[in-house]
Amino acid sequence: MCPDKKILSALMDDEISLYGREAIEAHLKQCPSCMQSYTEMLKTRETLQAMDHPWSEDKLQAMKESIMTGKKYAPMKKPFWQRQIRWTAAAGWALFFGLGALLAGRGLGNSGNGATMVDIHQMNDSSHFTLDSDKSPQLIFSEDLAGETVVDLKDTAITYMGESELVHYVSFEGGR
Amino acid sequence: MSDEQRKEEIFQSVYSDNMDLLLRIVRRITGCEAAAEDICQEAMIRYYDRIGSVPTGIEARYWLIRVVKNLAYNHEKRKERERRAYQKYLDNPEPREYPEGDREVLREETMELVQKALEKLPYKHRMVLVLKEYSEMNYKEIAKSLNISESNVKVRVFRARQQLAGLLKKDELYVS
Repeated sequence: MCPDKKILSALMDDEISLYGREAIEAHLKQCPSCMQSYTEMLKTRETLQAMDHPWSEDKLQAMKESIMTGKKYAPMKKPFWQRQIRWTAAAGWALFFGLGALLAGRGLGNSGNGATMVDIHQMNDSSHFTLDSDKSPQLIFSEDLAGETVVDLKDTAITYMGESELVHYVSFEGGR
Repeated sequence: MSDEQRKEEIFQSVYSDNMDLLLRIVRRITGCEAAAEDICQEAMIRYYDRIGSVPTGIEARYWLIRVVKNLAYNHEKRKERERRAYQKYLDNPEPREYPEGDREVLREETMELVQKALEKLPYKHRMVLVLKEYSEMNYKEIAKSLNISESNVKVRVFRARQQLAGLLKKDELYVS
């Protein structure tokens, strides 16, 4: 009796027991139909393997380098001295805000810890801000964000409202 | 040895043990060398990014095979969508005529047709067959890397062989 053809496939792959192998091989010698099926499967293996060839060493090396080099080119944290420059710029703004606060003298109410939340109105030039408060801001740090220079302080929220309007809420120590 | 050096050592080892095999497998699955390079590089980048939380040694191979299996499947689906979208604009190429004795060209043409026959197999059958024929993994290892049962591997390999044998026999496309 002919075995299930899956057995012939498993025989090709050496996935049957020694006893099973001997029995199947004996059957193949006597059964032209099973032998034909087995031969066809062997031919597909030969065909697929004939199409195979290793990748070139040069390409493998180049791909490896690009993967590892790609990791080394990842953006690094900016050095401290560059952040220092921003601190200096931020301090300059703080003075400007302070002047604006003196001129405007308006606040948005108090935050929970006694500090005053004030509204900065953006003018056409994003480097100029008018501060509606008579208090000087205590800057903590400043950071670039998407090409726009903004002030990020303790307890602040930065909200983009539409394409041209930028509103900063600045917290001041001490409050009014 | 620093963490970075250890990471690179692990990656070098996994890369040299597996990249060529992955490329050969994916080339046969997708029928495209460029796609194979993209897919395998992506898999290796993901591995590199996760060193420390991904397996090493032979388990790394199973992990990588699972990743390329999914990436190749997505590539397959994308190709299918593009093919359907442009089907009515595709030209039917005229059969080429070769000068007598141009066996190498004929062989290459036959290999292209064999590749096309392979791509007619259902993706999951094709994947298992290619892994079996190119990777020297046994059914148990293939089952582990694809997260399916051994009996499933046995059935899929058999069905893939049977279908492919039928297609190759029909067009007398055996290559050796």
